[in-house]
Amino acid sequence: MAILSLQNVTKYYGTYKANDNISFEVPEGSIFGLLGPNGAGKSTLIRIITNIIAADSGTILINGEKQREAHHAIIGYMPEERGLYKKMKVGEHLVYLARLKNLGSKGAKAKIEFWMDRFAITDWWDKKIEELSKGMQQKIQFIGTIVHDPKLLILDEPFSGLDPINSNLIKDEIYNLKEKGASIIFSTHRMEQVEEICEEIVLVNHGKLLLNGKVKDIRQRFKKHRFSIHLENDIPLMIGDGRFQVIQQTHLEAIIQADENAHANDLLKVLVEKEININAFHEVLPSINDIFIDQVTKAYS
Amino acid sequence: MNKVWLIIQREYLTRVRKKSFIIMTILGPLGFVLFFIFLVVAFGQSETKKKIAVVNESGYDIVIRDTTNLYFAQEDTSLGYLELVYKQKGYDGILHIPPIRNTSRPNGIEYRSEDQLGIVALTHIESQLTNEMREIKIREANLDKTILTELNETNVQVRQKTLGEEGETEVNAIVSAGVGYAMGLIIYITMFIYGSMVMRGVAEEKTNRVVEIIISSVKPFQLMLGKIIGIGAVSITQFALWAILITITQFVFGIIFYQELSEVQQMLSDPTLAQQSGKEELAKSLAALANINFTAIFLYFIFYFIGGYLLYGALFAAVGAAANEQDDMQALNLIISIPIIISMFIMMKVVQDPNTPLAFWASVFPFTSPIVMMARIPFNPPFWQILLSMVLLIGGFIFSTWLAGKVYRVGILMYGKRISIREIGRWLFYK
Repeated sequence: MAILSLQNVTKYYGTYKANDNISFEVPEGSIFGLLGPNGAGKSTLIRIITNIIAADSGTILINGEKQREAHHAIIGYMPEERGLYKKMKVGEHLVYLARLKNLGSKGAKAKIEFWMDRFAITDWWDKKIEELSKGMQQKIQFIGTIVHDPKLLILDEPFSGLDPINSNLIKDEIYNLKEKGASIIFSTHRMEQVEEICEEIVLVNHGKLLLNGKVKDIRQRFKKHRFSIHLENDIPLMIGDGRFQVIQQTHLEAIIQADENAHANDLLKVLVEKEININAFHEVLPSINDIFIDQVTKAYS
Repeated sequence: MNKVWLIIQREYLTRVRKKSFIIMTILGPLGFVLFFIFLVVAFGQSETKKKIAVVNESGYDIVIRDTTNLYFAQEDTSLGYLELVYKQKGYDGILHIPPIRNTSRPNGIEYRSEDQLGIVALTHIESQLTNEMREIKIREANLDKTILTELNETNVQVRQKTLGEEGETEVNAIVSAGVGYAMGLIIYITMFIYGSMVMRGVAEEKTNRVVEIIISSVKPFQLMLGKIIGIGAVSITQFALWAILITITQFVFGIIFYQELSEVQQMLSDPTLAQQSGKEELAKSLAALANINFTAIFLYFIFYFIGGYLLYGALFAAVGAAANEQDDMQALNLIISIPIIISMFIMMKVVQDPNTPLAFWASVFPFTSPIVMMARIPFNPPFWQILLSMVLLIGGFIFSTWLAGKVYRVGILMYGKRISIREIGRWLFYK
């Protein structure tokens, strides 16, 4: 079942169309990437999902039900531009955020203590937010986002400004939460992270949906029939078959562009017949980054 | 509603726990008392003792009476010589009265000294000289002094009687004006203080970006409402603490200045006493003050303060939400401050004449009524007018909160752009 389902969502700001007829589904228990260049309408979409603003038309289903106020309690949202009340103490701030998510004051305290313990920051309870570094504040922010065990977690650039150690800490927690059944929408520009973390993505540009699907499927869909061969000897590669063309050769590796109708086996057969010794052979799939840039520039032209 | 309560709590507690709140709460009444002491000192005994030489060349006998601080001595030496030696002779200055031709407008009377005279001393000398000139004119005209004394005693005063259900109450217009003015002024000042506290609070949430996290849990309108109510509660706490502290300080001062206060008390109960001591005016004012129903005024004050605060607080919140830069904020702030400032000007007129059409309309129109009606209340306006003004004020703040909510929920998420009024107008129609 889908934890979130958007059907024909459209949002105008005055005459400007921020979201244009967008539909997609986020499967339950998945990590889902929401991609798009700056100003593509990602933030607006997230704000519609979190019920901060209302769509002009379209339907939003959360957990199969029509979106309503009570869904606040099962959503955790960490915006890209984030802040905290600087004068408040860490503990009371987290209690405040938790109670706004319908936790009782006792339950909130217990949960926060659990998480602070997990991040090894138990002694921060009485520290003022303004005394913390940016990275430290981000940890507090993350706890504030997940303290109520949300079923749907929306993270907008969660790793920006974090050092590698803290990045990994947060990443591990994201996987943990997924294991426990949470669904995560992950919005970012960092494509290598998308490939690493996300199972499914949606790509939006100019308010329109460009792409939607599983990361593996999308890479297959946009494959360019290129193969990489690792050669045993450093000699110029000559294939002599119209269907295959060497487009790039470096020290011991060659990239071959194949005809659309040719199969990987055909290439192997040719290589064997020509008695070219190879150490490795694999298909080169486009990275999500390449696809992203391709699709977005195509949309501009 | 539960969430609004949480927001109110946070807004209230974080502010009440601040050092600045505690300092303001203590210093407020202290400042009030210090101001009072300053007034007493400044007007009571500000003049130092002065000895003044009088060089009288007018050709008339002129006697200037001494006061507690001023001593006058006739000197026969010439003015030029005295100017050189007056200090050695122990004088602070020389009052020179040249020959007088026109007793109505005597020319050339001068006070010569290194130091200027204070206003009280100067007034004393002028009034003494005016009296002397009058005496001279009476003598020269051969008028009967007893008749003149009788003429001088003519004194007409118009008393105002307000006709109401509870019979007639005597109210001195000047005292009512004073009380009305003070009430209007307090509402004016507090509206700005707490209104801008709301504005700054909203702007702070917007600039440090915490707002987006909060409104993913509550509706923007709930956040705005919680903030306005929370800060309103802070203001009422402050008023209450001030009232308590002022009562305590009054009590303490009452013990210290027992003598002085009991004198006033006696005057209040027995006006003839005041007449004897020449403090008739003071006694009348005190009597008029005693006639004013302060409990009722206090209750009206609370109502109009809360009403006005809610009405303008919502607008201030909208400004805080809409503005991105300091310049924007100042410009928008000015726009909503204008009706408050206008109310202040109307109020100054109204305390002089509380029953003009302007006074009526301004005291029922919700954007001016908190200040203007509050200033009219000591004059006991017709009850239906108060009721109308209250109903319209309630309607007014419901309207302004609704309007502000529309601007707030869009503005709070708008970053980077300069905001025009037209743009804000468009926000009202966003879904």
